[in-house]
Amino acid sequence: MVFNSLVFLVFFVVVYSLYRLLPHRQQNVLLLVASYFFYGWWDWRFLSLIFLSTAIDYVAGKIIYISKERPRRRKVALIVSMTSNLAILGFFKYFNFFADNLVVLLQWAGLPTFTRHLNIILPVGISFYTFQAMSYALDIYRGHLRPARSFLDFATFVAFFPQLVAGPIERASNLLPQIENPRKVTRAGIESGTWLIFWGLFQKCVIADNLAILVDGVFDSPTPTGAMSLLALYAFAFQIFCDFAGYSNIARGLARWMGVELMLNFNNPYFAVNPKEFWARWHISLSSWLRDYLYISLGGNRRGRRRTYINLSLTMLLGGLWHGAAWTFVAWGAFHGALLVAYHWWAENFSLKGKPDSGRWLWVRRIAFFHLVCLGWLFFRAKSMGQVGVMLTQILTDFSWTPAATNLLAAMILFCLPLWLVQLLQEKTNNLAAPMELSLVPRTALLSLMILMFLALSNTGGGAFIYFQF
Amino acid sequence: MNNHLQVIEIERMILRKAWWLFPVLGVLVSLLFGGPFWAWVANQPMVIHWQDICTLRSAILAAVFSLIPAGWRLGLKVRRARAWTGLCVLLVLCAAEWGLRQPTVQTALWLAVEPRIEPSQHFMREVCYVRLEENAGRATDDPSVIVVGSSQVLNGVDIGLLRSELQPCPVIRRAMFGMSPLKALAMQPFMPFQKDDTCLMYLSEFDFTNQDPFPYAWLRPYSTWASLPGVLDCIPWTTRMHFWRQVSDVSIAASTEWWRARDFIRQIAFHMWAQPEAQTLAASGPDPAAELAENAKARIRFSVAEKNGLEEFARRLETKGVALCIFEGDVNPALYSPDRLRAKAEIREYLEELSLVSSYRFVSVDEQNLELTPLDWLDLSHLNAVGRERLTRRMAEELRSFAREMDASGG
Repeated sequence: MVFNSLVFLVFFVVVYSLYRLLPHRQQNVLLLVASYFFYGWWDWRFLSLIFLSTAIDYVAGKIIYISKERPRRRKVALIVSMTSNLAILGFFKYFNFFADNLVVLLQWAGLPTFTRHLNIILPVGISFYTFQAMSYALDIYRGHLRPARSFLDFATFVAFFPQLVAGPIERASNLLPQIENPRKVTRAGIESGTWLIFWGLFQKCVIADNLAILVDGVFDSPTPTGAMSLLALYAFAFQIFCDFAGYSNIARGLARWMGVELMLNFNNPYFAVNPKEFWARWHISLSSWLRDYLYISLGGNRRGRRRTYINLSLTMLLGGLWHGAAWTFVAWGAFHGALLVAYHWWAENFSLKGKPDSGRWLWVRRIAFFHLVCLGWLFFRAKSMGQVGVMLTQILTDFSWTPAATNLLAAMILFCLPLWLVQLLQEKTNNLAAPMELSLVPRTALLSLMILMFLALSNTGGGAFIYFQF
Repeated sequence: MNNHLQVIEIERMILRKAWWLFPVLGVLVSLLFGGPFWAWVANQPMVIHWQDICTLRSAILAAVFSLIPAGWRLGLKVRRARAWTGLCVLLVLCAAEWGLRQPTVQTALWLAVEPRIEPSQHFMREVCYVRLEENAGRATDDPSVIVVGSSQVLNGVDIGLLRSELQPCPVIRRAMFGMSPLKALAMQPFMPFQKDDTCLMYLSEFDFTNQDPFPYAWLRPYSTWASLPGVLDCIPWTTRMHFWRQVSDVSIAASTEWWRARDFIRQIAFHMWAQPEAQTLAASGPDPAAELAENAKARIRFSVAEKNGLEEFARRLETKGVALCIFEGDVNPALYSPDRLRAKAEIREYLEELSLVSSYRFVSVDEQNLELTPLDWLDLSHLNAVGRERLTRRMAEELRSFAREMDASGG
C-alpha cells in the first residue's frame, strides 16, 4: 500500500474518519491497528519482526531506566537491544551480501568455499524502524529520555504508519510525547498538511516517476553517449530527491492532519555549497542519527584531527551500506566520506569556516558542489562498478549530442520547472512553507499548473518509492 | 520579518525588476499562432524569423501580457487570499479544459502526437487518426457507410475499393486494432453517425472470446459521459468491483480532456523535439506455425460484456436511425478446431437471434458464399490482398442490396 495509490486513499479516509471521532487513548489503539494493517498489507509475516523489535526495545528501555544503580545490567540491556535489532537487520539485509563476498574472498585465498545463498525477502522499511527503535534505547541509556508510559504508546511510536516504511527516522524525544499526550488537530495544521501532501504527491508522481523513465532508459542502455549519461545523472539527482522528499512530505502532511509534527527530512539539499551543509539538508533524520549515535560514539572530533577523519569516513561508509547491500552503496558512502574529510581538511587549513557566501560565487559553488553530488549519485544508481567506469568514460570522452539528448533535456526541464521555482522561493525566503504564503495571482498560477501537470503528465504506473527497498 | 510579508516583499521585487518578462512571454506566446509552432507540431525544424516576431498579433499579446503584473499587484492587496485561491484555481482549470477542447488546440495536439510515436504504437496512431477525423467533422451530410471493427476489418476490407464500388455513397472508416463490440460502444461518440447512415460491422468469434475483462487503457482515450455509463453497465458488477481503480480512472477521463488525452500529452512531453528511435520491427509477420500452436492452446472463454456491448451498440444505432449490417467474420481454416468451430456456431446463432430482436442485417459466412481457402489469408485471422478483394466486393454487393431494400421499405 503506497501513498500514491487509491487503496491508500481509501485506507486513510477510513482511518482518519475514525480517528477524529475517538478520544486520545482509543486514537492510539486505532493508530497501532492501522499501522500494523498498513505494514501487513505488504507481507503480514513481517509483522512479527516489527513486533519483536518493539517488544525487545520496550523491555530493554525499562530495564535500562530502572537500573540506574546497576551499570552492568544497564549495559547488558542496551547490548541486547542493539544486537537484536542489528541481527534482524543484518540477517534480512546483509546476509547474502556478506556470504557472497566471503566466498569470493575464500576463493581468492585458495581456501575451501561454501554455497550459502539464502532466498531472503527484504522486509519493507526494516532499516527505518530498527534505527528508530535503537535510538530509543540509546537515548534512555544516555539519560536523555525516560521510557514510554505504556507498551501501546511505544508500539505506536515505532509503527506510526505515515513514517513507518521510509522515514523520517523519528527520535523518541520528538514523537513519543506527541503519542503519549492528547493531540490537537488545528486548521493551520490541516492547511499546511494538505500542501505537504499535495506537493509530495506532485514530487513523486509528476517529477520522480517521469524522470525514472528517462533515467532507466539510459542506465539500461549498454552504451549511452556521454551527453545522455550526464543528463541521466542530473535527472537521477532530481528523481531520487523528489522520490524521497516526496515521501517525507506526504508523511509529514498526513501526520499534521492527525496533529503530529514529524521532523524535517529535506531542506533544499541541492542548494548546499559543501558536503557538511549537504548532509545538514539531505535525509536529515538519517544524517543526524548517524552523527548522534555513530560518529559521536566513535569519538567524533574529540580525539584529534586524524581520528576525526577516520570517524567521518567510517560513519559515511556505514551510512552508504545502510542504503543497501552492494559495493556501489559502499562506494557512494566512501565517496561522501572522502568529500567530508577533504572539506574539513581544506576548511581547517585555509580557514574557510564561517566565511559568508554571497552573490555569483555562491551560485558557482552551489553548481560545482551539485556536480560532485551527481558524481556520487552515479555510484548510487549504477548496477555495478563496471557501469560506473563505462559511464564516466563516456562522459569524459564521447560527448556527442543526439536528438535523444535534446528530448531528455527538454523533458527534464518540463518536469522539474515547478520544483526549481518552488525551491528558489523557499531558499530565497528561508521558509519551506513560502509557496503557501504567496499572494493570489502567483499562488493560483502555481496550483493550477501543478494540477494540470498532475492530470496530464503524472505517471500513474510509477509504483513504490525508491527508499522502500532500504 | 513575518513569513508572509517576506514572501510579499520578494513578489514586489519580481514585479519591480522582472516586469519586462511578461511582454516577452506575450511575444513568445504569439509564436503559437504562427509557422514555427506548426513546424514544431509537425516535428520539423523550427526556424524563427524576425517577421514571425514583429507582427501586430505579437504586439497585442505583449500588451495583454503586460497586464499580468498589474493584476498581480492588485492581487497583493487582496485580503483573505487563501479563501479566494480555490475559486480562482477552479476558474483557471475550467478555462484550461475549455481551451484544450477547442478545435485548433485539438488539431495541434493530435497532429503533434502523430509524428512522435513509435512505429509499433499502432493503438496510439489509430487514436490520433480517429480524433483528428472527429475534430475535422464529416465531409458531407449525405447518408454514408461507416465501417467499424477490429484489425480483421483493417486488413480485410479494401476501403478504396469499397468507396469506388459504392459510389456516390461516402464510406468512412472507424476501424481500429482490437475494436470489439464493447470498445465500439465506448468509441461511439467519436463515430460520426447520422440518421440514414449504414454501419458495417465485421464480427467473428474472436470479438466475443478471450477479451480483456476491463480494457481500461483502450477505454481511457474514448471515455466520455455519453458512452461510459453504457459501457460500465455492460460489464458484470463483479468485474467492475475487481477493477474499481480502473473504473475511477476512466471516470476521471470522462470528466476532463486533460486526463483523457494524458497518454498522448506525455508522449509529446517525452519526445518534444525528435522522433523516438525506431524499434526494430520484424521483417515478416508472425510465424504461422507458432501462432497456430499458441491459439490451439488457448482456452476459449466467452465474454458477457462483449455481448452486452453489441446489444447496447445496436440499440444506440437504432435510436439514431442508423442501419446496422453485420458481416460474420471468418478465420483461416487452418485454425479450425472442434472447440473453435463450436464457438463459431454459438456466436453465429447468437448473432442471428439478436438480429431478429435488434433488427439489423446479419450476413453469415454461408450467405457470403466466399469459400475462403488458406491461400486467401495473410495469417491466421487477417486476409491477404486476394481475400481482401473478394470480401470487399461481396460486402459492396450486400450493402447495395441492403440500400435498395431500405429504400423500398421507406426506411
